[in-house]
Amino acid sequence: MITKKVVLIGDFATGKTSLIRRYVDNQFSDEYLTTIGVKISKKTLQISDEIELQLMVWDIEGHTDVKATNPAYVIGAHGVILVGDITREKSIENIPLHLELVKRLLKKVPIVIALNKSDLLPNEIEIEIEKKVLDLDASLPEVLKVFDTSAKSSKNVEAIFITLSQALLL
Amino acid sequence: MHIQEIFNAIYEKHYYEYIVLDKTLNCIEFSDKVIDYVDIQEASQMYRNIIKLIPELVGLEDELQEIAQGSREGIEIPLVHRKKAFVTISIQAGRKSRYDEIESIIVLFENVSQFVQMQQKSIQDRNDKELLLLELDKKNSSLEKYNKHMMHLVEAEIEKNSRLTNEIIVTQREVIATMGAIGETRSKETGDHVLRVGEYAKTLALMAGLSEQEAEELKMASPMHDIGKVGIEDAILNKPGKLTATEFEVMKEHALLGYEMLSGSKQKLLQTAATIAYEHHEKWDGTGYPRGLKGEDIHIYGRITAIVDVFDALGHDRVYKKAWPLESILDFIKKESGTHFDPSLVKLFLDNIHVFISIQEHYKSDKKYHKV
Ligand SMILES: Nc1nc2c(ncn2[C@@H]2O[C@H](COP(=O)(O)OP(=O)(O)OP(=O)(O)O)[C@@H](O)[C@H]2O)c(=O)[nH]1
Ligand SMILES: [Fe+2]
Ligand SMILES: [Mg+2]
Repeated sequence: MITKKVVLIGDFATGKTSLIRRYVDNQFSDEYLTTIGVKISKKTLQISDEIELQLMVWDIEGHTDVKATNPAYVIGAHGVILVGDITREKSIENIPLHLELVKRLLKKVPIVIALNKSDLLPNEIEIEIEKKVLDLDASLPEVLKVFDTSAKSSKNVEAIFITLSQALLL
Repeated sequence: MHIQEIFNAIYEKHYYEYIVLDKTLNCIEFSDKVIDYVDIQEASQMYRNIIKLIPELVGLEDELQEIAQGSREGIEIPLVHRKKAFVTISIQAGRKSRYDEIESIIVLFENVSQFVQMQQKSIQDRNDKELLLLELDKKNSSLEKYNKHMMHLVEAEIEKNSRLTNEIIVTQREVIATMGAIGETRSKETGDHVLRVGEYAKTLALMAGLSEQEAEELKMASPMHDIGKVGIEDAILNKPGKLTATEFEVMKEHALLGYEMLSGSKQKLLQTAATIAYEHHEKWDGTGYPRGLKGEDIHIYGRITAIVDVFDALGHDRVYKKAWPLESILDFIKKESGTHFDPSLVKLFLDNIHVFISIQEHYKSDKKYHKV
């Protein structure tokens, strides 16, 4: 079994805990309980008949101030999910800053971006989401792929983890 | 830290637990309650690699090696969530003394639940508050957007309204001109006469010190002054040559008729037009008709219209006469000053005669006015 460390990094309340909870336990709650420190969840994926991948998913406390992210949580990570709240411009603007920290602490690792809470946007703004996703895609070449996700509706939650996992095994 | 010091600390302060590793990172010794923090299954087997026991160390293999080789001080992973408790995990090299070789690796678990409990509420409060502020901000900006949107709507509405109002004014003006022209047409004359009268009247009104608004109203209302002619029988209205005294009496009725036609309306413009129709044949000296009003008892709109109507009528061919030369017209107006016409208005009119002549020229050349 291959074991890999994956860290979710992003501003507070962007939905890191919720994304993990949806992915690992298939649950969601509207309540906001801020994460203190770090909590690890394990998720095992059967990649093929022979290959089993175990993800150690690090849910770390969110900080708007990027400097406040403890490097001890990030070092050793094999993959990173940067999380922004699609309804909170500032949290998206901060993604490149979180990315800087990641690049400083980690050698080349696969990175994906989750623009979360897409369920909160009415349908008409679908195009706007598309644009935000494309903008980030274009501006951050280190990033594998940008997803609009929803921990609430499950949209693209599997997809972010699977995309990252595939890259982890390359 | 001396290895013995650590152990002492652990025994004194019960909230430390530890695991001792050999330099290949396999477990060789556990404190009693470390089982609270690691997987029992894994810990029950001797010489397990520490990474199997502590998932937080996955990915830190290189760093652990560096600690074992003395090239790295240590690692501290603070505030790790563990079965409802919070522990800070630290890994460091163990030596007998500062100057001795590294003997082992020590993994320490410090229970910091109490500290977290104290912090939790204030961190949650801070985040909740900040989130609330962000939410408010968002609401504000969407409100602003909404406001802007509303403003656009309102502006568009205003524009539409003013366009409509404009249209109404234009339509009204056309209706009036048409109405005036009906009277004229029945008497086989051009609709241009009524429009020129309006134009002259406004110009003279402005010269007499009336406001732009009043002058404009006069311009729009004065073309209707002869509307009463629609009630006069053809034989009289279109009779070539001079009217008999009786016929003339019938003809005079057009003033009252016009007044009666127009004064039924509540529209200010039509009421003004009614006054003009009523009073445009009154004379300054009181010898006019239908009421024989005198001097300033005649509405200024009536007095103005009287002058410009005569000026324009004499200047153009009519059924019963050829157009007069300008000089004769001016002589006539001058002669009638103080008897037929208001002398101060006549003075203004004659002093500025070039203005009226240029209006006349303008109408001659400007085809677009001929279509009414
Ligand atoms: N509508 C909606 N709400 C979400 C979604 N994801 C998370 N939330 C809500 O957002 C709030 C914050 O979610 P968390 O998962 O606790 O956010 P976090 O990033 O872990 O926050 P910190 O631990 O403080 O850094 C909670 O109230 C969630 O219910 C989502 O996809 N859609
Ligand atoms: Fe008349
Ligand atoms: Mg969280």
